Amino acid sequence: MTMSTDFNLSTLIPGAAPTMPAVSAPPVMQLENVSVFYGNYEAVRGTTMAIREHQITALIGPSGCGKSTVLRSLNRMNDLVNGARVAGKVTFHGQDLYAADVDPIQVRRRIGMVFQKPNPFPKSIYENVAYGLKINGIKDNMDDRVEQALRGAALWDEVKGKLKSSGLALSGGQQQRLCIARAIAVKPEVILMDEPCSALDPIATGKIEDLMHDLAGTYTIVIVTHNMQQAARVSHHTAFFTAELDEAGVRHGRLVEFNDTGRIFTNPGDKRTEDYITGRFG
Amino acid sequence: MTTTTTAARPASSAPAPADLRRSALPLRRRLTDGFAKGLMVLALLVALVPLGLVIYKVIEAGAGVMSLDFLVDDIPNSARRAGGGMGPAVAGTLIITGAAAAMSIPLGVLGAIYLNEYGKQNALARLIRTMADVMTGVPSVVMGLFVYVSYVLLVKEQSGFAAALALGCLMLPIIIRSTEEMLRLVPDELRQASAALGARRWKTTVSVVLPAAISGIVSGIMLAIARAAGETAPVVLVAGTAFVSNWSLSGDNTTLAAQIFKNAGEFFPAAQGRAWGAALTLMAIVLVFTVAARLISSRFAIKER
Repeated sequence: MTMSTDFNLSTLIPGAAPTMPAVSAPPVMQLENVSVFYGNYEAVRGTTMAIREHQITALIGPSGCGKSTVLRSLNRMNDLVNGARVAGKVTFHGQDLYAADVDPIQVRRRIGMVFQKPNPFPKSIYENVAYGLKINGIKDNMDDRVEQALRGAALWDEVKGKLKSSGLALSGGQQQRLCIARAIAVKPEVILMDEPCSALDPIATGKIEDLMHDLAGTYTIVIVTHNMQQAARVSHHTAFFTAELDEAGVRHGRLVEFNDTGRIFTNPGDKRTEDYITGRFG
Repeated sequence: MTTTTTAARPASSAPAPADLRRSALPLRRRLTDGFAKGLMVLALLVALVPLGLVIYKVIEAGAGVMSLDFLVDDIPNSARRAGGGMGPAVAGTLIITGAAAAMSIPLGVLGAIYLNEYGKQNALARLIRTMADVMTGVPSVVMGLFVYVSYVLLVKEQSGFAAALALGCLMLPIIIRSTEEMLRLVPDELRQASAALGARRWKTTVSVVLPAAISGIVSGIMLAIARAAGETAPVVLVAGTAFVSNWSLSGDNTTLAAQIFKNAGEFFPAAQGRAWGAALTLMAIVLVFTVAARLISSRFAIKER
């Protein structure tokens, strides 16, 4: 690893020492020259990167750089936005997600999502987790499956006595873990996380980060985060996005650099990446 | 550390502690505050006066004739005769309003679901929205005339069904618009969360959006039902009249509102007493249904705690 080189940027950002060694794993998803449009506006331009199996990939960058937009293009959540359109190719095990006969519902059953703001359904804790199973037609061993998902999200011990009470009565951090439990209950292959800790305090954030380490053994995770230390702590690969003006003076998000997290944080290949992670970003 | 810095600071530079008590506020501000509060309480009391008087007068005048027999007995076919009851009108109100609700609630709720979950801002949805707004403003007597011309004259029979049609048409736009407002209040995050689990839109609507909005939807429906139960003009126009209970939708029928209108217009004290009794009965029926609807919807509604 490049951690031992004399030019070690991680020492400039306390707590940002990359901890997850990247290992080469087969790609589950592949983005080829992906651009996302809202109406006529091109929010993100030409993104090419790979999402590797059972690894955590972090998308970082300043506000408005299109990292969330790219994330939402991975399970066709952008379909729900009026006028949103994806150009280029997103493949999942080699299958084009935007091919004409692909059912977005089937896509989302395999590629789950956790949102920025914890958004449990206004139902009981049990019902929240069981919901995804029910809509997928799973009816047997419901109690076991719910317990498994809650254990998987490191929430079981805190809620096992009150499964019937509302998911909204939990704390913010617990709600977010409930949302993760809800997502993993349907056993997706990939979990997309859109700034899952931005509404949480440091302790709750720590719990979610630990959880992500545990989940990475079973799931492929893509996380969008504002927090560079978080990206350094949890991810194997990091993609740095930024927003730039084009010739016509219109802002577009662009992927600047995509590499192993260790490399991005210790020896970035691009000046803009270095500026951003050392805090010299304008 | 901090204490030493504070101690080191010369005492004279510390600002005088502000007086935080309310009594320290300028007189003008306190007077304005008190005046505005008083005005609001007064406005509330004034608004309650007509409501209180109506309830008081209806109970006072209606209680005299009220009895179990009054609720089931036939209406005397001569207004001057004392005794009798409002049984046919109670039957008519229940069957006609019930039929109107059975027609307009499913249509209205499904229409609102289309508007808010599917159509959104497309041309058809905008057209339906505008039409519903226009329909809300149609006077009930016009709706009665419409049904009279387009249905009663066609089948050559006044009937409870014709009245139910007119009342249903009056309820429909209210239900569509109030339900749509309630659906719009459901946060989009919930729809996205459901979609991200692989739920189809219909599934999301039925399992997440409707339960989240159910209590508001029921309130809107109850308002529409209460309004329909109290409508007079269309019923008088298209239902004809009845003196014995008619629990079917065909044939002449009558409602409490129509009977209030007819009996209150008579000079005879017996008829006036029946009008008050009918008014009390109508209010009680609406109250009972509203409470029942609340209880039922609270069972479906999702609990916050």
